[in-house]
Amino acid sequence: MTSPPDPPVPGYPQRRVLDLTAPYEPPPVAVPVAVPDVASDVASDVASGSPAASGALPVRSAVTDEDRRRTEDDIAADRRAERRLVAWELLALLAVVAIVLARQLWLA
Amino acid sequence: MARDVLLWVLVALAVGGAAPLLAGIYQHLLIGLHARRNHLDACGPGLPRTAVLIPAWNEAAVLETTIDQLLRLDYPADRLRIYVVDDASTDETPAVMAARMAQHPGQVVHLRREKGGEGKAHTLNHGLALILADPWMEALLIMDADVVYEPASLRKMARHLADPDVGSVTAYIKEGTEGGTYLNRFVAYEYITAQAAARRTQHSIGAIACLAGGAQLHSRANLEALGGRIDTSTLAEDTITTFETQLAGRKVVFEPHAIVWAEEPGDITGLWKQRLRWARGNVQVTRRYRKLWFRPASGHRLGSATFALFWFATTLLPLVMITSSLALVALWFLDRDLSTRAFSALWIINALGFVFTTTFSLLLDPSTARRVWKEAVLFPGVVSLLVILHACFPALFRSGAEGLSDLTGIRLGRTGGDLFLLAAYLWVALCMVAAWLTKRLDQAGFRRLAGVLVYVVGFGPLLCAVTFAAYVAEARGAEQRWDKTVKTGKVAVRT
Repeated sequence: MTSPPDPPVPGYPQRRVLDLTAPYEPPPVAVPVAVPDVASDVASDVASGSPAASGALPVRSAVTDEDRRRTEDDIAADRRAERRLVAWELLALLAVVAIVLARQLWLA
Repeated sequence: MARDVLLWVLVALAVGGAAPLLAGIYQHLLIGLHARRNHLDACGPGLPRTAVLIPAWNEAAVLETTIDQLLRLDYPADRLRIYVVDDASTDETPAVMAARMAQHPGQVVHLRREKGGEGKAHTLNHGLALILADPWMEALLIMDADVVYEPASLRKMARHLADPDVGSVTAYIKEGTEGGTYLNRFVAYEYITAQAAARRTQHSIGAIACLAGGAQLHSRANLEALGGRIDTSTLAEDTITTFETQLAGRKVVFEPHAIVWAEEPGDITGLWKQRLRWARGNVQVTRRYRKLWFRPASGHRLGSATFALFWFATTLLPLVMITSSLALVALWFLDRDLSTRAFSALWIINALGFVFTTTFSLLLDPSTARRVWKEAVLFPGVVSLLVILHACFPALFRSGAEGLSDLTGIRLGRTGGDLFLLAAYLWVALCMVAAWLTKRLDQAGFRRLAGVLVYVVGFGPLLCAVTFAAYVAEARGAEQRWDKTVKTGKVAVRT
């Protein structure tokens, strides 16, 4: 079932950085659905329920102060959790030292 | 002189059997770096408009739960759309999707392929083409139909995309089968070592081996740079995507605090099928990127010696074990005393590595550790644990053996003792054969017996046997089949 490599989708730029906090601006014209090699299949999908085809575009929203505060809190908590890794590492090394000492004592 | 050289080469090959475990020790030692190199400093509060892409073939049993959980994510509803690509399912998938689409118009989308069975990558590409055609999508979450995201997981993954250099983010996949079998507990422990531990290190050294198939969040820019398509030429599309992302100069981030629960196979036959696919994919990746290994380059860290060491410690493990075993047997015939010392050195390194990696791994994820600590201890198998005990505490082992001998009245004698030692040497490789036999027993319907044998032989050797089988399958040019792992939907967030 090995397939040949798929061709790239034409028309996509190689690198584009998006502003993730910007509100969504819908395209000025209807969204074209250009699908290589599965066109007929997807065309029926679009007709049967994609947001673009049904007109059910989402309500706009942007990042709120609450989002910013929560992200900062999460990051602080996760940073503390990551710092605990060093303690766990030392504890695991201590377990190894204990085994080595036990062996030496046993052999002595 | 020639004999001395031969002896020392054999000693090196025999003790070299510990090389993968030494790599494991090194990998665990580097985990501490993640306390600093965790990318949290570059995170931001961005909540990109995220399209969730779920490939599905006969997933009616799990889709309702998965979609409902996604809709309960701690993420703005107007920034989340769910696309299920139904790969010509023959079960109730269309009906399940019709109901969910009616409940959530515009947010849940059912894409049906009338011609299916081409594999996951083709299914993903079907949805990807449509999603990329709409500029609404800023980030794409590729996941499996049977995984369950903890509420904060997507938010925690998405925060990394605030850094435009990040192409993809993956999460910590945990085994979450409700009422799971012994095998699920082994997998749960394995995932601590393979994900919570190994991926932290990989992130710290700047080279991630694989984005988890059930949790990969891509920026739109990354997908476009990859040509808008997922590679379809191997059984390891996740790994190819991961490598290509990094080769294109983008970072891949592992977010250990984004937890995703997955249902894993509960029987050996199912696990073997799944892991054989993964292992064959790894062999294909190793071959495909043969000019990459051990060749440092600017722009990415995949060519670093450290990353190659970790990669080959896993992929070459069965070959190293066989070589070590054969070298020990050869030494046994040439210089018995030297063979004993080499054997002892090999297993003492194994013992220390086992204690360190197991203790550290269990500490990394205490909630899972409470559930699976027995499987962690028995991961190498009872036989290997006895060998470890013999290597570390020979007197203790001898007195135990003598006690057993007195109890049973069986005396081994010198010849018996020699044969016992030879068997221990061979066990380094034969444990994989024994693991393969457990699979055959499981297939033959002796599931309980096979389960007991996994504890005796070890889960580690079972995984090594699968890797060896992958080499055999690739060498034979066996057909590449996308064997779907059967899922029941019994997966839940464990607290």
